[in-house]
Amino acid sequence: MKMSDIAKQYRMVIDVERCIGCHACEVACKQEFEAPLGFFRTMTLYMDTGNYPKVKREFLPIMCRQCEDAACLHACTQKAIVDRNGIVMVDSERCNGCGECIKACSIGAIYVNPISRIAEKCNLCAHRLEIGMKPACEETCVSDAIQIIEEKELKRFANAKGFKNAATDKPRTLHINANGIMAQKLRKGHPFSPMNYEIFTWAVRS
Amino acid sequence: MMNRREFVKTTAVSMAALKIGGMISLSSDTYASAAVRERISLADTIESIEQIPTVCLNCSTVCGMIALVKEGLVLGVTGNPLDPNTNGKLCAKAHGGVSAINYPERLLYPLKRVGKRGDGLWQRITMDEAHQMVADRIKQTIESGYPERVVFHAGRNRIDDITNRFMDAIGSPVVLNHRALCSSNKRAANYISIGDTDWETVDAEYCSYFLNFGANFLEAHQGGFPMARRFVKAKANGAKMVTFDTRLSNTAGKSDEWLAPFPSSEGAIALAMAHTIMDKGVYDEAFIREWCNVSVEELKLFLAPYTPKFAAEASGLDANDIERIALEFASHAPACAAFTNRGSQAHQNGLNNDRAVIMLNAIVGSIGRKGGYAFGGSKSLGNASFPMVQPIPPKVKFSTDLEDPKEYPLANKWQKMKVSELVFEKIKNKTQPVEVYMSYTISAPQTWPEGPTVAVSALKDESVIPFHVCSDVVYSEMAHYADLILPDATYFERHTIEGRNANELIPYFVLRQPVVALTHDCLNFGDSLIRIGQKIGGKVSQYFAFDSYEVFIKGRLSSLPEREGLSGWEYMKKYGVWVDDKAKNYEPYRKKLSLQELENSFVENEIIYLLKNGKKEAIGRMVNGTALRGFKTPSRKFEIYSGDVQDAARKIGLEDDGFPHFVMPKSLKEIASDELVLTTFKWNVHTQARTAPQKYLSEIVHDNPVWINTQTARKYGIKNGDMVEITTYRPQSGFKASDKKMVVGRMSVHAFVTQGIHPRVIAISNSLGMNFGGRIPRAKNGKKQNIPAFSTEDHDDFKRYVWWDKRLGGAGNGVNPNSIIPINPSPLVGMQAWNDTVCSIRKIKA
Repeated sequence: MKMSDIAKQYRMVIDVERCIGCHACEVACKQEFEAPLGFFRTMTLYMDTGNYPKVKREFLPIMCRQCEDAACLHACTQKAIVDRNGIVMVDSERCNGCGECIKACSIGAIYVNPISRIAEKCNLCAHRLEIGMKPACEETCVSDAIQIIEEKELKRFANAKGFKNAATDKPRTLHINANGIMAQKLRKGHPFSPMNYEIFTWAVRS
Repeated sequence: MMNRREFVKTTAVSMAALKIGGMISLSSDTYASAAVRERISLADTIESIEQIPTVCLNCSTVCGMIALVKEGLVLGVTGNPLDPNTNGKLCAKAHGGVSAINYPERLLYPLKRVGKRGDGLWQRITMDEAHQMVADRIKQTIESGYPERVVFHAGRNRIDDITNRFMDAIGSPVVLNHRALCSSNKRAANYISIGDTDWETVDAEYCSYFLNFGANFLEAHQGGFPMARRFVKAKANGAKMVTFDTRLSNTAGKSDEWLAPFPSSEGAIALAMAHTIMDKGVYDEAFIREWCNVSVEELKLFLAPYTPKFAAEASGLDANDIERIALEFASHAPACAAFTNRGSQAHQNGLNNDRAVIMLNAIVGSIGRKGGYAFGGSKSLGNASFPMVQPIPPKVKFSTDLEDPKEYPLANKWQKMKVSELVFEKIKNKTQPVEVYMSYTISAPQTWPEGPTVAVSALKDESVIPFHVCSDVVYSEMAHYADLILPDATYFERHTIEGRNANELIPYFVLRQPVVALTHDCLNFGDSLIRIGQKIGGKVSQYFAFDSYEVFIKGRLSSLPEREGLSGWEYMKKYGVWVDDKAKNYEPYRKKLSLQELENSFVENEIIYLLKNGKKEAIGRMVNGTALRGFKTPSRKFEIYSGDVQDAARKIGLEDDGFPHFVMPKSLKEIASDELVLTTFKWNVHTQARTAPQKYLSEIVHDNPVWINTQTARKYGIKNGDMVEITTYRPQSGFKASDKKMVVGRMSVHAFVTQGIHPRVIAISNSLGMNFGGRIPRAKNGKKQNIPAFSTEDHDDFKRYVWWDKRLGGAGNGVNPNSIIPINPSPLVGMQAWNDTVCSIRKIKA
């Protein structure tokens, strides 16, 4: 069965309140795809807010938001990015690694694999969905913070919103209670930076 | 559906050669093909993946998992949904651990030292030669009449069924461990109070108020992962958590309230909370009357001096907060739990800190209750459930100063926790001569206080350790100082009967089994011991009359009943998890003793005894005319007062009235206004010493700057990233005590200036700053080191993409704070006081 044969429209919903910042989702993701060091389909960002002794730590699991009318899809010079079943995915046979998609993404959720020279990003583990499995991140999430649902179930998540870094973004992946200030850690046109893991980036820039 | 299959086809060399299905033995050639592993991923093969249940061991929480295997390669792991603790969930470490199997710097052949010890010059030998060498050395030592000169030292040893058998068989009692570096005060506090378990099990799913004293269970605490899952559920249902920790851990950061007390004042806070609860009359009078070994009046008298004001002075916190939180906690009883970990127990006064916290549960009556401080539902993995294979060697009847130092009378009272932070000092002083030192899953130079100095100097010195054989998976900090290295199996390649405290309070166990065949000359250390035992011959070999550790484990499981028409062994191989058919073990102390249990018993002062080998052994107590199990303490009650502690203290000349009083350690009480306290902690993606070589984990955390509070940093003119020199001092009481500010060491490290730490505290994590173990833990791109036990294969990630390599502008691999953390065993138990180190700091030029 091919993904396109399924009528389902998938959506990812991430409840940031539940996330404990354990990084299992992103390590499971890298293992799933044998991703090279320094490149990430998904990351969990940390942010400390407040002043001693009233300090909190917040987390944000962030990955491709499967945008509607996705900027990366339009930017692709090879028509290698397609939108099916609610998933924006890269056709590895068409991709030539030009990197135009990277420039288009407002959060940097896509990179070109330095070994294969093919663009890679979160595809909600379409290979798993098509055989009835959960994506690697959702499957391992100890706090059930990540869920894949069908579009028709969205009404259960009235408080979920798209995480935007540009006014024109149309994310279909939704976050519950994400802190918009986290956008400071993301740069349009640059893949997720490994430097986000460095502890010096935890505090809010003021 | 687009995937990378086409790409795989064009680049992978002769994948067909690998496709011989199931478990294959990787010869050098097929192992070489594993280099193309970066081209095969789970994503490409998920439809046809083979799923084999086994158990993680990347930390000691031992979560049930399913290995996802293709063509003899583990491509990933997923949680085993049948594991009642984890319900099919895994942490980052479990996923990251996969890379250990084909790590290019994994040890594949036995090595014999050829240069000076510690020079790193090696010759490859055969496993049979290596086993013979060890057997000859041990045989000689036995024949010399001093079998105790054979020392076994393990860290995360999960095969003590065979290692203890081996040591008993050769007649040496010197089995060393790392418990006093981990949890011995916490365990001792539980033994004293509830007498039952080595680890409490908060019934977290149903708990509505978490009162957390220094546990970082959302990141690091052993068994924390199953508790984290239940905590998130409870929180979604409205539960509250208050965390006392000097540092903003993820647990503190996710708490409803974080309060940072002065280090070691946790006991004062807990006692003041108890004081408040008693004072305001919100205690559980019936529980205290029926189950505690002191009366309400005695308790009030003991608590009288420990007012919120007293605790406020000791901790620096607000007395009103202490009072308010105490009353909130009590108002949630019995579905509330006060619990501890290294933040409270790793102090010189840690034993009483933990006893005071545990006592809070008794006062409000949450002990053993739904949503409360539960315990005792776990399966014992010992002889009772899984009988050892006959014949069983007799237990060694004597002890030595190495594993049983008499100056710490509670170290080995309940279980053999030992005081292992002292052993290298003792070995250096030849307190107990050593001939053969066997190390296994331990990295003392990395993880021991003063490890880089004291442990290394003992390990290097052939006059105090004439022969060191090390079993390890990577060329580790420990292996570097060995004379002989045995390449161990990873936890994906061996068997173990496993289990932890049962978070569902129903006994369960899990089976680790090999999911791929062993590669090259690697061998499970358990199998090495069997072969060495056979080679020693004489009386020793009779205890190793089986072919392998697998046969041994199979024998131990032979008493399991059939399930689903399968033998116990087959059932475990198929499902990996066994859950007993029992109810949740709430209030185990209220269990009635059966007539069978009461046979030949007698009652004195309401305590029920049996005579065992002429000794009285308490088995329960009479409550209103019924024989109940009670707590496994001497009084069969929850012990607030402890005669055991009083007696132990008397033995070493200490005054102690048996109550969990609060006394601030001398060093911290007399700390100068310009001095700080150095503490240490663990990350969610690392264990102490065994995860740094795993690329996807070290990619997330590879650097450990020193945490300094923003206000403190301002005083010293320190900004983020500035270099700071830390000077640490010997404690003013206990081991090597000195009032003269005796320097332990100095270390330069860059600063992380943060709001998330107490202004008098600085913190440097453990787990990093390694000297060995390959390019990942050393943060060095390029060619791998030339050790004749490595494969010839390599991988781009290690050659080119270690992005945190300093030479690429990265942060590097961090520091090991143990070079400046003094050996500091707490009194009575000997738990290392990790969080008591007084230090001074100054800004230095980069």
